[in-house]
Amino acid sequence: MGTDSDLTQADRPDRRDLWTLPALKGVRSVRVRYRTPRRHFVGGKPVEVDEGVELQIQTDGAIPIRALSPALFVGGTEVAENVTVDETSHRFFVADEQALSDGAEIRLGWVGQPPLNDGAAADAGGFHYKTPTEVIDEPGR
Amino acid sequence: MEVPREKLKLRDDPKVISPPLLDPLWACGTAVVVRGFIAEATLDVEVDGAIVVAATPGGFPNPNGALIPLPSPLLAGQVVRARQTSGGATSDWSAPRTAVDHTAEYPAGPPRPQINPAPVYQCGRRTGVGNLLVGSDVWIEADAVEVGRVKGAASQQGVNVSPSYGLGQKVIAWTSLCKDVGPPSATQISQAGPSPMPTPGWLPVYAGGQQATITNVVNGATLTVSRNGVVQFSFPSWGYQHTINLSPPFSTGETLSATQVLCKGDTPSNPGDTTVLPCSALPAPGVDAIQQGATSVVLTSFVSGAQIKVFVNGVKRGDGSGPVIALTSPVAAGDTVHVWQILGTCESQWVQELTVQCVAPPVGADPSARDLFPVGTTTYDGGTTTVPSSHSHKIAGTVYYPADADGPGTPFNTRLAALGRVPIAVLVHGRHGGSTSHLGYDYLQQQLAQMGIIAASVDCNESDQWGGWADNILDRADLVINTIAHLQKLDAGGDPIFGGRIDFDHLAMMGHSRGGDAVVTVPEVITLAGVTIRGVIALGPVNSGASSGKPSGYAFMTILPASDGDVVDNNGAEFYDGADPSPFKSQLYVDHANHNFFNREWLNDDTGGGLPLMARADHERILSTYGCAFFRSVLLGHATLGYLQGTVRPPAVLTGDVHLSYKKAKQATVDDHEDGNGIAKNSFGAPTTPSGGLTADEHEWSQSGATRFNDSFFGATIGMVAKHGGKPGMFRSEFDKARDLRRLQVWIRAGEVYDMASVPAGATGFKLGLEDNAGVVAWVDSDGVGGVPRPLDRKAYDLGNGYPDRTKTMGNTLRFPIKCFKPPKEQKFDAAHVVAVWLRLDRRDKRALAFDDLQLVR
Repeated sequence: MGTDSDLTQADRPDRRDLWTLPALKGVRSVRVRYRTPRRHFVGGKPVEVDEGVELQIQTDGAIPIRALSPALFVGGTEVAENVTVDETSHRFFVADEQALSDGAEIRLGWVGQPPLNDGAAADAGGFHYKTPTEVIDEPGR
Repeated sequence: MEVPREKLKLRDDPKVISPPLLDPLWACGTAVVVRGFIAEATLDVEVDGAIVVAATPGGFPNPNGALIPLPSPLLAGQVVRARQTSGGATSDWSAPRTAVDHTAEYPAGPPRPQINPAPVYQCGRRTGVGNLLVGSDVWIEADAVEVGRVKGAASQQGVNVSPSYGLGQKVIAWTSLCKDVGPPSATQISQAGPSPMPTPGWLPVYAGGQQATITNVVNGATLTVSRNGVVQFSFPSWGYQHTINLSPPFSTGETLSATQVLCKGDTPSNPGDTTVLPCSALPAPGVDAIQQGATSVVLTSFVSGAQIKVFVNGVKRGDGSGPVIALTSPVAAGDTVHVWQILGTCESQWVQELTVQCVAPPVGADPSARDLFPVGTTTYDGGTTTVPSSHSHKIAGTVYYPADADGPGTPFNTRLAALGRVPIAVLVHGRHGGSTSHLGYDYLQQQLAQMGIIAASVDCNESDQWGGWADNILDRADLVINTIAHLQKLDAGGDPIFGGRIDFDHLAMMGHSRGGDAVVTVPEVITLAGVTIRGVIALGPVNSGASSGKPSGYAFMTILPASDGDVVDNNGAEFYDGADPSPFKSQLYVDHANHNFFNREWLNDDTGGGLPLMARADHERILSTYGCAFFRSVLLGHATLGYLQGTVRPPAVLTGDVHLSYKKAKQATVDDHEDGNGIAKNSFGAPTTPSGGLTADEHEWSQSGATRFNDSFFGATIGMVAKHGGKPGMFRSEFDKARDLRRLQVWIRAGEVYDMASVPAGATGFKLGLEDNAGVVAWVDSDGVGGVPRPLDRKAYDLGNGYPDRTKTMGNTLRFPIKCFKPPKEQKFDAAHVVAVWLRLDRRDKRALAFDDLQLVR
């Protein structure tokens, strides 16, 4: 009698790639007037704003769900606060727009973990920050 | 280390034998359990100074000691001692044990008995019952009919069952003491036994011994033992393992055989055989590390029935049996201990040799194993709420609680409720996706409930889909607060289970991952009246900035998985560093632990196989034992902080992987480097002096600090980094005045600095010295107090993911007891007048060391 070594039907643990991010397909910077003041946390203290800059992004796939948040790195500035619109659409809220420079490269990474500047990231070389000229009212949820 | 006995000159004084050991005693108990005596010794038992049992044969001390009936039940306050006589020598009396009214320790009645091992099988004739108070009565019911009883039980007691179990019977164990009946055990439904019956095995049997242990025993089976082909006896066993006694002693090459069967007429198992090994094969016993001041030696392995002799610096100090041998006097740091085992006429040629350490914490009782009550379970539904991010989320989760019976929706435990309101722990999961993350801590909820803590786990699963960072943490915190508010309504509103039951003045929380950030945030945003948060555990937390990052007003603990594949920065270190140590703060940095395996619903390894890990069960043991120690301390007032301080180790935990930092309030701080006065002055405002080529400076222990030493620091504090150029380097930190340290310890947080290149082989260390007002400096080496923790190398893993190396410099708290400090020969050190503390970096590896929180601790 032979020994069965087939694993094709085995219950394998769920394997997830936590680190691979989808590529950025589009980035739109807009100034948004909020229907209710939006709250940012600066050093653990809430700061409420009536309007602010948002970076609204499109990706070519879903961002993995994990403890760390995705973040946009605009040059050397991290923009972490965000909300998921749908699987490939996300709004990132800029807490300090003065820290963003026109022309700064925009890359998608993980909060606290800026992508290495090696050009290998899926979103490398595509999008640059431009101070928004457009002002919109926050859409209804 | 095993060493040949013949080269040692061990003086075996036959007059020196160990006093035996007594199990805890309870009023109304009708028996005592004596352990640690020499096989075949006679035992005396004394109650309140009068010998009430004289020269009773002890038989074999293993595996369960001697259960000795008393002529009359014990009264509360009576003092009991025991002694042994063997080979013409009589030991000293044992340490006295006082009989205690069990309601002092267990106000809601005797602990719940445990059928152990479970399950029970059809035709089973004997059942083991554990978690008993010594001297209590225990009985077993099958379908509500009593089928076996023992009066005056041991803590783990076998109960013979007649008639044997039928198929599908409900089997329950009961116990009583002083006519006080405890709650029923968990119900076991008798099952059909295995078919075919497994073949029994044997632990090694050595010539000269008279005991043999059969393994692989089916619960309740009847074993038949043969010796050299001749049947000796048949007997029922509670299962797992069974130790038998045979006479005459075994000889080399004899064969032993065992079969087992459950039901009469069934085909017995195949025989399991073993051959008696020669005396020359008898090894040295395994011995746990020994700490200065210890009055006993604990064995990690030994042969059942063996006589164990202990020699300290060549002089006999103990003679008894495993696993614990009492010594005739305490040991001192640096003493050399030899431990030798003897089986009848067979004397092992090997002895175990070890050196007494200054700090080598003993293994204590399991802090998660306090099993008092059945556990009820329920879910709650508080409707929906709009969280701060404007999303709607249900207020829902699960609750485990002490109950009158196991199962969903069973009534709250009547006797516990009669004693007053019951504390509550609220657990919060992190962001993983799916809908069941809140179910993943059921094992911890079960443990908390069975010891008398209500344990709720909050369902935040929907919020996983929203994105968000600090916003999401606020949302989770809001769900926690809404859960507490809902439970307050149930408590106040006459809920059938929780009405009037919950003590919101004793509330603690545990959060994992994003939940860990949320539980640090809750105390800063909660406005509910009547809630007092006593403690918070942040397990692998993120730090989104939603809170101040400075936990205060409660006890704080964080558990940081060193092999975290998700929260790779171990952000909980920032919380620990930022936390107010009042009443205490605690950090566990756990090597080979990942992010997910603490939650049973999180099945994937977040490192993707990229780092070597301990098993999932070992992750759970860490959360169970240290978590329960924390909750018991802050919610029940139990004396379990020793597990967090490192003065005692939890059993069956990979404690070698757990690096403890601990700080408590109101201690004298020599230097925490937070004073802004530079390296040249300490927190006393007194001068510090480097010498011998040592360089030292203060650095931020953080990722972003401008003064960080390198990028291997991940906390939020300022500490010192010191290194030397080759010659021993010294660092003297002066006190503000001469201080009396005779009743204090010196604590310092220390760690090996990772150089961002590689983790070299072998540990490094240092010496810590105290200088008295006569200029005498006494020293202790860090290796004698547990050693300096090492960086866990994860460089290849991190770089492989395309991110920077996250190998960390992470300190832990080393404790230096004053008694361990040794002055140079022919000098006398005056611990009553200490004027400075010294660090001496003397390792040839020249590695840098990080130090912080140098304190004089009561």
